[in-house]
Amino acid sequence: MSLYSYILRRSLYMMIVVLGIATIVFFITRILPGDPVGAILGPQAPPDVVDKVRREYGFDKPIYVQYIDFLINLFKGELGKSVSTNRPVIEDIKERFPATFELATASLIVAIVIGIPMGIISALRKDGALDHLIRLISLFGVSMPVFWLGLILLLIFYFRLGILPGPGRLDPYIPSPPRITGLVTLDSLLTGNFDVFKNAIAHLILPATVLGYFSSAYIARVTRASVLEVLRQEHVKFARSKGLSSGAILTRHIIKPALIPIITVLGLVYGGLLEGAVLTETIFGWPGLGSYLTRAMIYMDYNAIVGGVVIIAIIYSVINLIVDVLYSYIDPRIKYG
Amino acid sequence: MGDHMMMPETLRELMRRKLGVAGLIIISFIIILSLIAPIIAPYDPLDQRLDERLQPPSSKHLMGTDKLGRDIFSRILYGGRISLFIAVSSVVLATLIGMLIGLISGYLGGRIDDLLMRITDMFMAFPSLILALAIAAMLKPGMFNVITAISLSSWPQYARMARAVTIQVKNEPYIEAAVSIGASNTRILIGHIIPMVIPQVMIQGMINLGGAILTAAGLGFLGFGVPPPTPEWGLMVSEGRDLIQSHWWISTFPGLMIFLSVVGFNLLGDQLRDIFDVRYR
Amino acid sequence: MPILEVKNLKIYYFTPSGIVKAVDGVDLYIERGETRCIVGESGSGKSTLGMGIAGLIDHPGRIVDGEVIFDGKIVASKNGIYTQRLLGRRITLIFQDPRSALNPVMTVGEQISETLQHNLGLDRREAYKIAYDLLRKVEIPDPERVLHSYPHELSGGMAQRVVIAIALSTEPDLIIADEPTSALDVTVQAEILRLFRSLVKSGKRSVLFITHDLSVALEICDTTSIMYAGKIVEEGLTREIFEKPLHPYTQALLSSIPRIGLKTGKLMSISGEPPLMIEPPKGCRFHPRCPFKLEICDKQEPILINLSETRRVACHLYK
Repeated sequence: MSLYSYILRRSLYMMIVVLGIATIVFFITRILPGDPVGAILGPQAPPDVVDKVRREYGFDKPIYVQYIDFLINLFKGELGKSVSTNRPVIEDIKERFPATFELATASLIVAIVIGIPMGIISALRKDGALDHLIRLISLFGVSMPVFWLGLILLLIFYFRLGILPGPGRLDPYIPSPPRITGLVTLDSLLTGNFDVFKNAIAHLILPATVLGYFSSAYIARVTRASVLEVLRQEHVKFARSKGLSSGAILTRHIIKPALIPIITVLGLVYGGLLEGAVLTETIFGWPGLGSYLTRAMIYMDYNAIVGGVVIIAIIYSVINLIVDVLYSYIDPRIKYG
Repeated sequence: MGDHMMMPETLRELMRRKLGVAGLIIISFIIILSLIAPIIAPYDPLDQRLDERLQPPSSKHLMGTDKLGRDIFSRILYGGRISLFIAVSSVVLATLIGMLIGLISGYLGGRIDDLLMRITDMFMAFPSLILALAIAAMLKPGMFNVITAISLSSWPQYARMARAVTIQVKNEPYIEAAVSIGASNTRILIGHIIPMVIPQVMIQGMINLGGAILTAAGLGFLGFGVPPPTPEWGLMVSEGRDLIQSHWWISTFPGLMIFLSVVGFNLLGDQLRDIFDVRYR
Repeated sequence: MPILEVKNLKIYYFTPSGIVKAVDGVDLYIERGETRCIVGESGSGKSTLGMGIAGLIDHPGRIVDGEVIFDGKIVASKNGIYTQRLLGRRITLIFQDPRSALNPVMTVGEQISETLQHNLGLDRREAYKIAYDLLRKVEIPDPERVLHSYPHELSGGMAQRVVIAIALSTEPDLIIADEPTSALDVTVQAEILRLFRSLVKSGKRSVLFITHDLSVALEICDTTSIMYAGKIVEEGLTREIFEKPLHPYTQALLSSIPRIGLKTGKLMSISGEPPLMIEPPKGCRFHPRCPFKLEICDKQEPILINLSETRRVACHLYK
């Protein structure tokens, strides 16, 4: 089977899955008790206003009609209007997605840069002091509540020591760069605002470290296992018999084969980053999808909730698809099927 | 045949590993603390003393007081019971649901298997915390709703596992033999398949206990766990969030407890995984 | 001067269950251009001997006593391993399973040119050209395609030819081949052996060929050393050993091979099992299984005696 038909098949499957999730979440929001409009307008609102708003959002129609409307809109790429922001959900999401993407990517970079070397060293020095230390650090990373770590680091580095900036993507008095990609770091670079760029990076440090630490622990663990597996194999000994330098053996014969299985894990890691974003964006005042979703849930903003969940499902599925394709592309032993 | 590890053997193996012992010690410590909370807690966790609010740790209040004047140490002790209860219950519930679905799927096969697996895939195509969050947010805040939310977001892996084992056992020659001499489905299921499925799923559940605590705490932090004034650790961290700058102790201690308990469970879980991984390879 | 001298080499593995004395006092001399076979069952220590000579023994094993002398210089002893500079250039190795010996994520071409670039200082283009010629030399029909293939795309026989090509590429003085045909199909085995023999004969290089199969030894090797339980028990011209085995173990090995066309003697199977090298038997290590056991055999270890210029035996039957 060729690469294209594989991608096609997976994409189709993915759409069905996303549809299923959207349906499940849709019905959960509608069936369970709770009145979003009442929640937004408050208990003091006069009933006719409440009714009017409810009609405006279509919440007065029977569930099945709502569902059909929802599906139709979904295919049109519309996700309804948010009750709390009074804007189309899709607009809200478009605005907030880049922030989360920027954070997730920065965290992924941190996680890989820390995690993979740690895993390699840990495997090469198996059962040594360094190995145990790294495994302990990894254990801590996996066991730590992200939101707590974020708070503690904020406390220490911002409030007490003042060496890192506080919440938000930029300092309050610094203007945002013109919105090209929505990624503050990229946009400021592209427009030559190096001060803004530096500030944006500074703001990324804490949240990316927090999220990155958690993921790096997981990556280190997987890397260690993978390298240990490779070390058991004969081709390493054969490479030594060629008299190659330990550096060459390390890179070409140990790390390269070991890295390949790690790619499969990256999809999961990214999912974890999305989860982490939900937990930490509020702490760091990060205007991304995570804080949007959290707020939507507090206010029972149906459309925003369903929209946010659907988008996250799509992102997660796409990432996994990319990872799978990447993997089969990189590992010469795999042909798609 | 019945190749599952015997309890005493596993325990002995665990004892041999220092880290596993460390994990057990930590967990036992926390469990004991939670159990004797009513005895050793110096104050009632819900007791508000507005004249003693926001006090830093002292001899009077070991971990200080929060913004309603409640003793944090006492709240932490009681909070342990809640976190443990939620974590264990959700894992138990998730494994039960997963086993049920996995068994049915693996044993009946065919269209039902396809359907159930598609549904499982759907649930797995999702970061589990976000799913749990969505479910918890939709339900009214409450202990059992949290447990439901976490279970519903974590059952898929157990279903997959149960299904795999079911299919594996189902295809064993001795099952064919049993069928040919007229053993009923129930007999096969109960007598042969379930005894093989349960240990594996249980072990996996134990390995995941740490993660369950984290998820529960996460939900609590976001406000979708047990409602205030119940002392749940995650909730306590969020209660101190806005005051972190000047009153660090309100968020720090609950978070520390979450961390410690998860470390303990993960240590244990790691050792369990090591023991069972090597044997089953 | 012999290209390789091994003097009283002892290699032990220090495992949690005990000390495994895999190689327990081995003397060996290989002249330039000589093809020597080491024949023994699994557990005899022959692979360890080969790896030890190359300096590739890993934890928990190490050289406990003795020396390996290559071209007049000590390259391995309990004080240190200095084979690094020689490996890949003057000493090359061939492993048993070619498909696990080759790196699964590098192409054949990359793996051949890797050693050429590192050991002969060639650049990539030159290396690839020589790799192509090498593949022709090992009788691979489509060298261009194979150069760009990955190991898993090759058959066992082809992969082993690639390994042989790599081993020959730097024109080494000594090739250590550890059971190079054992992992291959029987028909392919014969092919590879034939190829190997022709390639070796054409150069003035020495070969240390490790195998469990005496008939292979007869085909390939000028001289043979029979190894049992960590020690050499008989040594000599392969032909002579074949026609007139002296050590009871050698006799047993030979008579367990059915041979077409020769007088059918009794097929003798060797009772018992090779000893665990943690607790080798006292005295001669073969005595528990020896049909000619004497009184002295379980008390005193026989030493390797030169019966003639080309023959040595370690057995109390011969004085």
